[in-house]
Amino acid sequence: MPPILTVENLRVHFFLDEGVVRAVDDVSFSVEAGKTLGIVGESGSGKSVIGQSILRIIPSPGRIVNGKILLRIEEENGSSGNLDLVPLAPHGRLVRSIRGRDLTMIFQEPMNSFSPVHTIGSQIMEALRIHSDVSAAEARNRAIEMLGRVGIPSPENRIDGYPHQLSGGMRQRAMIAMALICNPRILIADEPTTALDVTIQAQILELLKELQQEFGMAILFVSHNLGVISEISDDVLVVYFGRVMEHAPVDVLFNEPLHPYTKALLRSVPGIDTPVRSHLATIEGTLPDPYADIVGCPFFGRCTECGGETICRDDPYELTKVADRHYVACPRMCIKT
Amino acid sequence: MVSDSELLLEVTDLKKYFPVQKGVFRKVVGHIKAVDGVSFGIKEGETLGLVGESGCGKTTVGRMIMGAYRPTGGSIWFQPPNGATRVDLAAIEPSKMKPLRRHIQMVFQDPFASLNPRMTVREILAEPLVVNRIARGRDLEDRVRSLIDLVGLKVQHLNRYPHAFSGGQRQRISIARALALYPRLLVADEPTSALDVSVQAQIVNLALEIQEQLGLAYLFISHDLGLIRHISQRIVLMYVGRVVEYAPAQSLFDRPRHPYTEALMSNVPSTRPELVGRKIILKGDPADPMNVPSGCPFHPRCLYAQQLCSQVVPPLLEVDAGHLVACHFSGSLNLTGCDALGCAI
Repeated sequence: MPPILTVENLRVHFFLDEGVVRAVDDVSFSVEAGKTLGIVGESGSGKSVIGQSILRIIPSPGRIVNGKILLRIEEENGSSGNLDLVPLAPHGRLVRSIRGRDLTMIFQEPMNSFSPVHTIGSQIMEALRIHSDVSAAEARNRAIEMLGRVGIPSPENRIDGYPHQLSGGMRQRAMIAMALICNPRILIADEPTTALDVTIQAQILELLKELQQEFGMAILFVSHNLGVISEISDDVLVVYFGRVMEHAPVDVLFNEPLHPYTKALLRSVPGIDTPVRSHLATIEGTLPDPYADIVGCPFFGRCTECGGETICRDDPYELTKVADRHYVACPRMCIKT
Repeated sequence: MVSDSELLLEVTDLKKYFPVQKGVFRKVVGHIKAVDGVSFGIKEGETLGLVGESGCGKTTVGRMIMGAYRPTGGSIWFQPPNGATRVDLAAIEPSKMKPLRRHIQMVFQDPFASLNPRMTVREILAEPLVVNRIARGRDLEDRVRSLIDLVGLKVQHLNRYPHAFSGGQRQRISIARALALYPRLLVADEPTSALDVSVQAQIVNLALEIQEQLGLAYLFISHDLGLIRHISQRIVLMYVGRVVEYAPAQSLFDRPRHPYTEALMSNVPSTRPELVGRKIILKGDPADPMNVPSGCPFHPRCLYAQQLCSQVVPPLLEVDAGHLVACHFSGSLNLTGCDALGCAI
């Protein structure tokens, strides 16, 4: 099955007075319908910017400087092709017709993503009526149905409520309803459970999995939480300093990670194998200077496995295939194999 | 379970109700029962983990111990280190509180908001020593240097301002400041929640090292069950202002006695995809502290709830050595432990 979304060599740079921040630096991946791609990284790794660039909502002064974002378009006559989103104007008619219909997004803090002065129902219906030709009454029925589907009790009353009248978990459900009302093909979820309690987080993850089964959309799930990523993803992208360090199926990534950064990240979370009150593995040092233009491995200098081999510093960054669906960007490892 | 003399701090039946005011005349229309009858004890040199979801009152408990809030009811018995008699911090006069404050210090969640941006690190660390007239001149500088060394930063860092540091380094400065007066108890309120996992690990390691060196006790407040399991010797689990379970860490995770504990453990996302086991998905949201359900506050979400649960508040009773639980049916329920649930924390 051809992927529904393919990102090729994407580079997003932020042009600041102090210099250029390479927030996304040569990132490539693809997602198939009905699958979930997890994007995991620490703060400042550029993981959110990847999601924003697909929707073409990168905040200024960020710009896509290179790469392709190919959305698969299937015509009604059976022919299909790819539409590159990069050359389109970010506020143009075409992007706006795709955004909200084919591509939708849910955010970390649902309170800031809803307008506080409109009812939840009117905001959900607005999305529906912009993208499809339905009457107001039908839109209302569809919105009630969708709110019920995401687990909001008595949706026929809640539809006329305002966002502040809902709890955090319920608001996140309402946002999912708004994102899915047009039956999108790709849902980008940017830390959707980070602000929620664990019991609510478990509810939302379960709901997303159910809805994915039902509607068959692809999910791009951005999170810093390794546990959440391991529960929801089929494939995982580990991002560091705007670059993909490792890309692998979820069970491979968590059981046999290859990149030293992935390994270090996994070791730093207390888990079942960590003796209680023992010393946790840490990653020494800090992220490189955001304005730096690093040719080689950005993890060089913090990596405990390379032993300062100059090849890691000088060899240009490249993501190499090591097995089926498994890619690693570690010069030392790729030379050995 | 523990004789009173061993306890550094003992909290008994602690309560804090916040009034809810409405209208022009600020009429009190109700109370938010943030903390409603909480009891536990902290031994010298141990780590007590206080865990719960948002709104359960865990931060309010920490603030009452610090003296930032005056409790509505209950006592906070503190044992001063010099062999003096125990004092009740909840009832003490403000003038007598001052000399005791140095024994209990706090580290906050947000390292970006808890350091004064206009003070250098040297000034931040020296302030508690100057205010309490403990050191001055050369002696002061030596103390400040030993503090910065204790938390793994360098002497050169002393002249910088907080903005020049990363989140993890700022949290180290906060810890150094809290340790300036050699406290006996450190209240750490979500000290690693704002940090990345690799930095979180550094701070946890630092906390464990310092405890080994200085022998102080921690009240470690967090919503992260995995972290609490790693660091704590004993654990208090709270749900809307009440203690649900209070037990040694091992005992709590091997054999939970409360349905809420079991559900919470099963909901922690695991980094072992093959271990993802039985998830107990709870219905609804955590109870509203403004409008706490009758009886056991957990009963509307509980899988095992019976009629009794909605009528009678379950008392916190000892069911095993040192293992206390507030559930009417803890004896008859056969709940699954953390490892058997497949939760890899």
